[in-house]
Amino acid sequence: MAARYLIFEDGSVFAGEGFGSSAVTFGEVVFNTSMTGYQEIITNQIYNNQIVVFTQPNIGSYGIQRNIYETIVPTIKGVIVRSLSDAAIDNGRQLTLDKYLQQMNIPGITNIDTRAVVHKLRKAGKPLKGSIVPVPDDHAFDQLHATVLTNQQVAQVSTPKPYPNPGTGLSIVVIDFGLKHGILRELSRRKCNVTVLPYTATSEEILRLDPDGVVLSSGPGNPQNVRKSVLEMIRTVQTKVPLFAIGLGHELFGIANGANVKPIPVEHHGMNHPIHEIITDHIVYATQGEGYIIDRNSVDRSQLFITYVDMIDDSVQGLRHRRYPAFSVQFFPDGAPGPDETDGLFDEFVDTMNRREAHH
Amino acid sequence: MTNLKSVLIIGAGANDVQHGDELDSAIYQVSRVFKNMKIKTILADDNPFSVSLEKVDEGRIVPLEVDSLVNIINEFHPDAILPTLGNRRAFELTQELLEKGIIRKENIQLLGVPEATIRQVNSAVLLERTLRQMNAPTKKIVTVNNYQDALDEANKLGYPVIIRSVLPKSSSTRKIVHDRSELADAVKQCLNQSRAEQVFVQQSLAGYKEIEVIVQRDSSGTMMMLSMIEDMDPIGIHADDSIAFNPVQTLLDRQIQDIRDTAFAITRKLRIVGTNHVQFALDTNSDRFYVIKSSPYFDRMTAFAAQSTGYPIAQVTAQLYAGKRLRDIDLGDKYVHHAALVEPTMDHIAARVPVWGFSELPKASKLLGTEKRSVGTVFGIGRSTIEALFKAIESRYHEPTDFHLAAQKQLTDDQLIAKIVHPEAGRLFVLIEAMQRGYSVSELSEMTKIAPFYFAQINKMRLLIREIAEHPNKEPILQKAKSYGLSNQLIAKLWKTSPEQVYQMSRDHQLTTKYKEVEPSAGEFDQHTGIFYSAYEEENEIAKTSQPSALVVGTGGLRLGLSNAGDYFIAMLLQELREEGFNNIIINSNPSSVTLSPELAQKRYIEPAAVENILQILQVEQPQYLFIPASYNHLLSALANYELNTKLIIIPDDLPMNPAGSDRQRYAFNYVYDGEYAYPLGTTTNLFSPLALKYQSTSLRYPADLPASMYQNIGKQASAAVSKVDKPGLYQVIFEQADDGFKLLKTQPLSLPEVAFLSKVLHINLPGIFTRLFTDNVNNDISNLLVYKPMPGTVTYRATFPFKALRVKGGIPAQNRVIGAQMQFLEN
Repeated sequence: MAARYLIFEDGSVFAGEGFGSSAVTFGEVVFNTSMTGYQEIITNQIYNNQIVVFTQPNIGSYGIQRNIYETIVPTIKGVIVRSLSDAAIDNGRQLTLDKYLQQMNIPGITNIDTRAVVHKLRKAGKPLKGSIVPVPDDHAFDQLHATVLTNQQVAQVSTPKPYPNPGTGLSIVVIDFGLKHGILRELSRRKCNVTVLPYTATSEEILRLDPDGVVLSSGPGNPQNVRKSVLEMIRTVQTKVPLFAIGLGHELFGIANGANVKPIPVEHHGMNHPIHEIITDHIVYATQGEGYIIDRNSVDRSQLFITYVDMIDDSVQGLRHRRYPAFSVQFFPDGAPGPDETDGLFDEFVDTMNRREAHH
Repeated sequence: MTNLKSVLIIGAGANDVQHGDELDSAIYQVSRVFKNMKIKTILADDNPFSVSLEKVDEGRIVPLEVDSLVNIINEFHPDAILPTLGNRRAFELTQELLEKGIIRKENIQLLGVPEATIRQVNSAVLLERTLRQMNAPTKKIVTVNNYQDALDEANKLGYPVIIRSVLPKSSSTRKIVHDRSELADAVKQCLNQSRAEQVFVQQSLAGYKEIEVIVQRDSSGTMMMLSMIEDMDPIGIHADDSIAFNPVQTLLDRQIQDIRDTAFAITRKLRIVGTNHVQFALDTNSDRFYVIKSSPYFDRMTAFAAQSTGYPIAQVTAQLYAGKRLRDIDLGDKYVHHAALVEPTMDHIAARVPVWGFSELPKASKLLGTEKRSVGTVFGIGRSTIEALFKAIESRYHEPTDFHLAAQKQLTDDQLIAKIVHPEAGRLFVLIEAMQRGYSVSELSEMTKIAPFYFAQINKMRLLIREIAEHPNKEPILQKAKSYGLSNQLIAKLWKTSPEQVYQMSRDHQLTTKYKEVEPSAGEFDQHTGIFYSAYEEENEIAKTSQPSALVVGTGGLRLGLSNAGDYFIAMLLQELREEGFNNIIINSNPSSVTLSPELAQKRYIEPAAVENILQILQVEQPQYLFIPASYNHLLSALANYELNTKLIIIPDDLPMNPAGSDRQRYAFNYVYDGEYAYPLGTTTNLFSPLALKYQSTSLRYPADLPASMYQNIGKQASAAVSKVDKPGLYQVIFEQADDGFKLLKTQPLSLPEVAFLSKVLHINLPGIFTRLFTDNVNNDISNLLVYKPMPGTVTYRATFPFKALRVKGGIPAQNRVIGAQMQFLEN
């Protein structure tokens, strides 16, 4: 394996060995502390324009599995690991992580001191731009400094055209901000008849399909950079049908109802924080992937109430509308990867829709 | 639960093959937390090597029987009983107490598990029923009373199946049936053995992946997963005999979450407060998994999980037992707020390997199966699977890796195949050799049921070893070898040079070891556990411990002979050092060892006791004192080549060589010797006649039954003999009865098992006194520490042996085969 480097805008360099694609890429560097599910993480579109450092050292041990993608064309900018372990895979059809990243044009670096990188990111206390390069020379740093990362990530990853995921149950519209397949999987399990629409869909386009409910998907980036018409759409849709929002969708739901978002100093990606479910007083675990959170003080309590709070950083992890059957969570109740403890939220969503059916 | 004032803990008794130091370690840590919460701890145990017995508020040395417990309850009227720190036996005793009605009468609370769960842990049938009720996946079992039905069921289940007698007449009969041709005989035999004339036809889980989960639950129902551990060897080989990795290495997220959900469901159903160790069998072909066992008590796996993640399981569990909720627990300023609620995540890999007793018991079967063969365990931590594994293997100080590698070369192909198909202890080296001889991953995986991933690792190890051997004295190769955790000893062997040369080379090239902290958030939070491991990477997280400091090398994995007397001695030594104002640093690799408790050593290095590691750590820490067990003789002689700049003190953990066998009674006069005076500690003698024990004294009584005149007479000789010794320490002078009186045989250091025994007999801290003899420069007058009340009656010490557990027929008790011991106070 050839030498490859992870360089940062502050001039620091971490050396390792390249795998996957040999492309030079730029992105925000974040770390993920999950101990399971590297394939699901790499294929999660929330990592659009980001380089992900895995703290779990041993990555690649089961190669790439055909049935656990979270998207077909991942847009992550790089995969940084301590110890790439491409397992012996007998089945000729199955890909190794190395081959897969080559095909997807994503560079990786192994044998990097990932713990040192994590310490650096934690101490920086702000997002750091980085690049994966073959030579950490002045040219590489010039390019890194000159590169402006797009803030229109949702536009890059949302589906351009509507598509169906037919089922025999309730009809649901999913708005794609960078959808992960976990959401579709959970809806399929509940036999839902799903139509996925681009994030540009207007309330008219959505309601024309007469859905029983609408899901706002997770997605990448800063919600403040998503076009404002989305907020208008949310404000209209939530008055008409049950709404369930996840991740970026949750942040947009909050903004649409008067709350503000703020960046957190160190992006949080993992599945081990205790999350307090206020109404039941239970503590649950779920996968989280967040760079922005709802500012607690900005929540208009006459419109919304807070349903979940992260017990480590006190961040708002869930909201519910006081008047409409609309609720949202910052974390990923669909897991993939991660604990199942909150997948009941999909049942709750289905129940909400069924109750409304019964009323009508 | 605010009214909890006192707790009775049922100890585990003598160490045996199933348990070692981990329970004493857990009791020690739990009782310290109780003390901080103003809860009085009463401990019932009879293990002379227990540290806790001397540290709890009320340590009671009694036989672990229900009557002793009843007496203790009547004496102390404890508010609660804690049965989860004493292995299965404590559950059985608790059930007996329940049946006696004393628990209800005294209104005693059960901590950790409700009454119903105690019954289920004690009865496989009850637990099975509960698991079925909750639809947990368990192996399929049907009852039949004739061959035809057995055949139908076996066909449905698929071979192999297990045939067992229902209500067996004598010993339980259990047959593994691999195909139809073997079925008829097995059914016939088992029907004959059954009082009900019925047999169980049971699905075999052999060959499936074994997964172990440690979950934790509080009284409000909050649950978290602390670790998921994967055994390299499949079901069919005892989990404790397998190489194990934390975290799991080959599981998909979907499998992990399903197993987690089931472990949570069982723990909830059994209403466990504290930890639960749940074992699973995973069939990777069908993606089905089965619950094998649920153990809601501390065990080796819990200890391994705590040491390898840095999550302080015992400290947290103690507070859960006392009724706190996870959300109320504060782990102090070295952890983030609510750290007890953060599921541990690892940025390193821990490998746990078994320690065998074959050098002491050469006749013990090395064949691995469902019965446990190992006696202890050690672990290694690294940043790759291979690094962790190499360090773990190197931590078996008394079994050199290079020897194992060379030994496999001698095998013929047939022998090799036989060893692959019928695995023996140390099989990893056989598998390396098999790959060397060209067997493919799929062949080996098929024969061993070990996941291909591990063969990829084994192959990498093999290629690494070859690469090192082919490039002697090359610096880049040395760097690579060190980053994969190879010891200088092994590298030197491959390079046909000396470890000193390898060390010199790494110094010449500034290849310095760096250290990383084992910390349960993988770097997300600024937290500190004080547990460190070496890493050849960029960042160094180590800082010199503030002075004065002492560095102590632990005795490693439990080994026959010493049992846990070494851990006892070192724990007490650490405590004395702390009281003298030293900051303690320990190097150890036994996850069960009490010496890895943060209360005893503020910095713990998880490293093999290799010379280069000691030298590196000396350089970092510059301690005033370095303590090393005498049995680490290679290490000691290697260190003699270097300027250490510290005072080296040898811990006398060698077992005395017994003088040639004799049928005469022997007497030992025991002393503390400070270099000037010999302070008598009284006499011990064989409990049984030497003849009965084939001349091996492994049972003792205190005091010896000598007439007073005799006692004085020989006593003088003994003191004179001790005064001739050139070093202070703990000694004994051995006399043998002769025709015309007593013959002085020899003077020798007190063995550590006897030090532990005498400390408990006399209620004095002999390891502490030993320490003070060497460390207290200002005033090494120890006479004030030696004040003890002569107690009435006799105290007995009986060593226990693993012969039955390891199926050694006609095993001869000997000092080097001891696995544990019991002691008892008898009134004359």
